[in-house]
Amino acid sequence: MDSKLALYIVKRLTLAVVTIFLIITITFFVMHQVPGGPFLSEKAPSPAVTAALEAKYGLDKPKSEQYTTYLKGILKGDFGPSIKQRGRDVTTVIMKGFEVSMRLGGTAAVIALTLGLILGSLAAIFHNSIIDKIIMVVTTGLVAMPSFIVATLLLLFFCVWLGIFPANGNEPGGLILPIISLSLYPMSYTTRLTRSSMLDVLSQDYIRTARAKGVKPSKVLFKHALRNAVTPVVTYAGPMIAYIVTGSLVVEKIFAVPGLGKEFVSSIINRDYTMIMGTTIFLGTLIIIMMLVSDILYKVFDPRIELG
Amino acid sequence: MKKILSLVLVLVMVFSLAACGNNQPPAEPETPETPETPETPETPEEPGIADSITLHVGAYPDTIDPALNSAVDGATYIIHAFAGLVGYQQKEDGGLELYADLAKELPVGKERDDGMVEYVYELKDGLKWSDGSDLTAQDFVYAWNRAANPLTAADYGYMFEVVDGYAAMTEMDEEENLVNPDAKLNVTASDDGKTLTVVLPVDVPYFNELVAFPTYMPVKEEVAEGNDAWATAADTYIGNGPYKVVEFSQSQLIMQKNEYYHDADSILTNELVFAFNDDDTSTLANFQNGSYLFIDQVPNDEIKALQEDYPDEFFIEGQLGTYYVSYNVNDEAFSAFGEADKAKIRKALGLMIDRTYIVEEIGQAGQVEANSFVPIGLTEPDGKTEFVTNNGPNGDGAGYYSVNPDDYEKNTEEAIALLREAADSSGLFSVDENGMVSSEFPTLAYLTNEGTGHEAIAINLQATYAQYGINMTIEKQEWSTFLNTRKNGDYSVARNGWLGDYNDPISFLDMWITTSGNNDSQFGKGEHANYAGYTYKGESGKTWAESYDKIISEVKASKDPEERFALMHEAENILMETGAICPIYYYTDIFMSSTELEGAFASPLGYKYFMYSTVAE
Repeated sequence: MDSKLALYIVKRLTLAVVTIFLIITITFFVMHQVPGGPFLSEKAPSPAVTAALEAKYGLDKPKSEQYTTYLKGILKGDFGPSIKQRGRDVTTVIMKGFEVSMRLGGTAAVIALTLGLILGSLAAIFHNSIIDKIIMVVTTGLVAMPSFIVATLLLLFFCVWLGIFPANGNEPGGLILPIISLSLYPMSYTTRLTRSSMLDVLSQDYIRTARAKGVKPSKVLFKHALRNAVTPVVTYAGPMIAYIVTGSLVVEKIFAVPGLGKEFVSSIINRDYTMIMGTTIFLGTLIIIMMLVSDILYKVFDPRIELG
Repeated sequence: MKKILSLVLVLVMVFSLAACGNNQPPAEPETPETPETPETPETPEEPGIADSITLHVGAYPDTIDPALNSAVDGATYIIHAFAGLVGYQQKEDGGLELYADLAKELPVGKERDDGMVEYVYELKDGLKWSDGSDLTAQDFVYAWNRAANPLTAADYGYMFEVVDGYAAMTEMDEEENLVNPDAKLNVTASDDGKTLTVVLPVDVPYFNELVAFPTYMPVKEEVAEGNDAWATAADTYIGNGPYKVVEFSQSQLIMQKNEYYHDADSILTNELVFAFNDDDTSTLANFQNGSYLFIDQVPNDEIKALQEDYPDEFFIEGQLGTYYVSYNVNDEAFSAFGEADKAKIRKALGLMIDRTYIVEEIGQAGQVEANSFVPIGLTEPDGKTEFVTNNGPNGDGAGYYSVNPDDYEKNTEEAIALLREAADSSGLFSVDENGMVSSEFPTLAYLTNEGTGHEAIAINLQATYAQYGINMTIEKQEWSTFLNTRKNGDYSVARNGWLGDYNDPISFLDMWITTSGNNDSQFGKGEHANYAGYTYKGESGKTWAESYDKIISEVKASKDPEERFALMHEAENILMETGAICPIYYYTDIFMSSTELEGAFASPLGYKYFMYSTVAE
């Protein structure tokens, strides 16, 4: 089985390389098709300056040549300098932002998954009770509420009215609210997923059999039921973690957290070509990896699943 | 007991970690002759004032390199970390004036025998960089050549346009290669490094003002040369201003008092923290809970409420800038019309706009209705009289139309009369007795970028024109696409805005010459190049190149300030005669400053000065 798993991983990794190559190629050519460019501003720089900038970043060369140069750079691990943020290179900007987003998103993901699994299980166990109803109402509300509203409300309530948390990520305790805002949606979603799949599992015959055989209720729940109920959560968690650790524009803006999220958006607005490529490749790779991890985890949770 | 012990252990660990953070290995010594930066003696804390102040003027800046920066927030950081030959200080009455900062005194231009004009700056004694090394006139020679060199690719390189040598430096051949790659500005340092001599082909009355501009700040060659990243890290960011940068991260820029600044005794507060934040709701929350003592942006829809709730902390200051609508003179939709008729139609459209409504209901930030392109805040040669007090076709300051709400009716009547004239002479449409145009009138296509204010103004114009039977469609484009479309002249009508770079109207008029990169209206290009309906010094029948372009080049060559300003008024008359530039309002700068913060001030360019500010403890 181990060699089978290894073969599967190799296969998936090969596929991943092809996918990333396609992402690079498509992004590269589509990005250059979008009108506008990195050197436009309300005040146009002089033609001499624009020409010098284009030469500096190789933008005066034919697209095919730019493309091959870029690919060669990537193979050497060089993502180039940011065109808009003069003097900074793409890797540094991404890594600095990722460090912050990872800390924030990682914590939020752990909280979301833990609370989600607990609340979802509780709701399923006490199906139709008052606990179930409260959990469902709250999570439905949070799933429906866009993050900018949640974050703004938290800001208003805790920073302005109560004044118990700082309103920016720089100050001690400043990351608490951003983490809460980031985790609410995935937590609610995980709760709902866990609840429905738990309900499904709890009505299965083997659970009834286990109970009839006198297995301890806690063991029934955690060993037999949760393990099987967790599969949909794993499917969801992979991409969710990839997204959450690469930062959220809204939460970063509202709480002034210097994460990676805003680089995605500002790079596109600025037509910062190297930064667009860098962030896209980074996010793409991360998602592919996380999906691979969740696929492997299926196997761990449910050995019946055949990979490959 | 165990608990206490573990707590102590944790605390020790935390502190040692924090200490590690502070002791990051210093970067390679920048200059061999500088000894390992001696820890500047901790300033004895000024009694009764806060040691550190946290402020907000913008988001994480793209650059804080004095040459490369072209942003207003970036300029604010730079004027704290650098000092130029000339600076701004606040007068008793709250206004600003130029003063000699690193220079001993403000020089006046002296004409040499060869007709060139020379400015000689004598540097004060004992000037130093923030790392303790000596600062000489040579540092200015280096910095200015660096900023002006097209290969540095500085947006504001053109600020050196008035200096001899710039033209040669930036000249390009047909293949867009530089003709004289080794050319330099005519700026020289004396051997003792005490004197800087600058040569200009013609005198410009605002030269000292240019020298106070961030692009003219000195840069230390040893840190900047060959290192693109020098301005991105605190250890290589060596300045010479009242403050020195000690931390530059994506969330904040921390500056501390620079002991080597020549006027360090006037600097009282030890530390300034500039927090980066690009969300207006968030900056406001930080101001309201006391984290930031100054914020440079507030949510637009809260302006009215904030003005009422914070009467002593909400500020509206004048800013050199105009919000306007620009028409493409070569617009396809109107190609059947002659240029004279097009100008009448555009002027009529301009007269129909209710600027008071836009300013009060949409802008809501104390903007001033504009009746000219060159805004308020710019002065005549005497430095006191406003340029706008002499504007308008008659030079009486009445502007190019009235923005008085009482005259609105009259304006609309005039607009209808103009439309009738255009209808009669072109025969392409008609105007009925109610002032409604016939269906043959072309549909206007208004281009704007996304933004609540811009879109609201577009909708207001659409509703206004609909009252005359004129259809206007609104196209929204994303920022970069919008700039590209407008610059290339692929539009018919577009929202536009311009902020001046220095206190001289040329900063607003130069942009409309044929070859300017900001000539969004496409004057003198395409079909418009052939239209000879403009007047040059009383002679009619001139093309754009023979009138406007010529006047602007004369302005640049003029040695007589009175004549220069007369020419600039004439240029504005021609510009406004086209109707293609339709001013809406003059910009204002809004910010909130805590009553605790004393001694901070703002310039009409939007720069904020905190070096003399204090907070009582």
